[in-house]
Formats: sequence, C-alpha cells, structure tokens
Amino acid sequence: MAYSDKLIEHYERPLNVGTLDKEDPNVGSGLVGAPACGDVMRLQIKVNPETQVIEDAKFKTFGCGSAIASSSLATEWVKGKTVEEAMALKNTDIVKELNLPPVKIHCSVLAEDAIKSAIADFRRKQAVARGEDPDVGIGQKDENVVQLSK
Amino acid sequence: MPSPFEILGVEARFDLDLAALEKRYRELSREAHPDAKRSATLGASIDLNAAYRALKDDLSRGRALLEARGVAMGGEERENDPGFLMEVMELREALGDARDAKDLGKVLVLATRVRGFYDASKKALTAAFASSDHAIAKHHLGRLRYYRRFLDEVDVIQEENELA
Ligand code: FES
Repeated sequence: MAYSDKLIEHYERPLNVGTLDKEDPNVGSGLVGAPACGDVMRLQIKVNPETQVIEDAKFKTFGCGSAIASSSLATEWVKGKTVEEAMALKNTDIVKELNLPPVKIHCSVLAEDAIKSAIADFRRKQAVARGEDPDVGIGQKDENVVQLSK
Repeated sequence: MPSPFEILGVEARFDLDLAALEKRYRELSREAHPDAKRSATLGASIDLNAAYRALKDDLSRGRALLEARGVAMGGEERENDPGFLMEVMELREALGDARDAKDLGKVLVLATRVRGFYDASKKALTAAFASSDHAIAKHHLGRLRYYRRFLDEVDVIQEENELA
C-alpha cells in the first residue's frame, strides 16, 4: 500500500519539532518508548493553568517516518484543546487520518502514549505546586490537596 | 506448532552454541530439501529456515524461549523506567548530532558504548534464563530492543559514509 499524501506531508515537513522548557511548571513532558521497535519520543505541552488549554506542543522523535508524522499530527491536534479533551486522543484517530498500514500502528501508539505521559507529568507538577502552596491554582483545591499540605 | 528449538532438535536454552546450531541447520536442510527426498515437503524446509532465523538472533531467540517455556510476552511490555528512556533519548540525540556533523569518530565512540550496554544486558538475560527468572528476562529482552535499534542506526550511518 502506498503511503498517504497526508503522511508524506507531515513526514517531510513535520510541525512542532522542538523542545519546551521542562522546568516550567506549566510544561508537561512525556518520554516514551516503543517496545516493538526500540524507538523513543519526547513530547511536551504548555498549558494555561487557568483555562487548562494547551497553548503549545513540541516533540522530538527518534523513530520512523510514521512516528514523526504521527507526532506532528498529534501535537497539531492537541493545541487549543483542554487537557481533558486531549486525553481523549486515540491512536486509532491518527491511524485513520494518516492511513497507516498495520505494521505502523505501533508508531501511532507511541504518539498517543507520549501525549498521555506529557499530560500526566503536567498534572503531577500542578499537584505538587498545589501541595506546597494550596493558594496556587485557585478553584482547584480539594480535600486531598489540603491534606497534602499539612 | 512445534517450537523452533524442537524443529531444530536443540536444547531450549538461551546460550545456544551458534556454530553448532548452524551446523545442525545445514544438516537438516540437506535432509529436508524438497529435491533430496521425495517424502520431504517444501513446508518442512520453510519451517526449518524460519526456525533457524528465529534462533540465530538474540531478540527472537529470547522471545521463542519465553514462549517455549509458556511465558506470555504479554504483547509488548512497556518500558516505564524514565531514567532508562532518558538515557536512550540522549544517546539517540547524540548519535543524530554526530551524524549531522559527519563526525564518524563520535559515532564509533557511541556505538562502542551502546554495544557495551547491549552485552551487559545480554549477559543478565542469559543468567535470568538460566535461573528461570522470567520477569528479569523480559526486562532485559526489552532493553536489548532499544540498544539494537541504536546499533542499526549506526549501521545506516556507516553505510551512508561508505557511499559518500
Ligand atoms: S518503526 Fe519505530 S516508531 Fe515506527
């Protein structure tokens, strides 16, 4: 099967390649590996803590063309979405959009995992920040957080 | 479906003597060759080739051994040690930079380092199989995959440079 035009476009001109400051409390970083092939990917999101909207996303992939295209597409998709909405991203959406052949499905899984892992990292950071100072992140206080800060 | 170990009639262990394995494969191939004996089928010769290929390679031999011992590989085991992934990411980044800079010396230094990691993991894998510690075996088999990927990349870079 021939690779789709969309795939080739994202592969030849990937969007959002790069890095964000991983020390920034509003940046979540995901680092994941594909056990099937041994490739690795880092994906980062920058979130507006007030609105929970993902304002920027960057990635760096050491993987095949399909992995590069998948992460290019995934970062484009999550930008402008809330963290909650981005959690719903499925690798099957990527497979469909890029028309990936079955042997390349694990490459799209890598991108989904990377988004989820970046979100998890962001949430962890937020929790820590709230734990240390419950006044940070107004409106997000809950019982657990208050307990953490004691 | 017989395991590749059974097809080749060798002991199901990780540290096979690869030279002896090859000899065994050649002998069996002659017998199984469709022209050699009328009773032998083409299918047998294909199975034999596939079994030999599976056992020759560390990664597929490891998987075959887990399977032969009835341990499910569980599809793909996810690596979730952030330290390890970070290390692989950094190595791949360094290799990419060396490639862009056409710094073949640096490529070789990195390759030697990763080959060292590979060998260490393979040693641990061999020991884990010997003591039937299959969780550890899976862990190291997973790591070998990442190191192998890195070393494949080194091969590609070397080929590029030979052509240039
Ligand atoms: S083959 Fe490794 S990510 Fe596609």
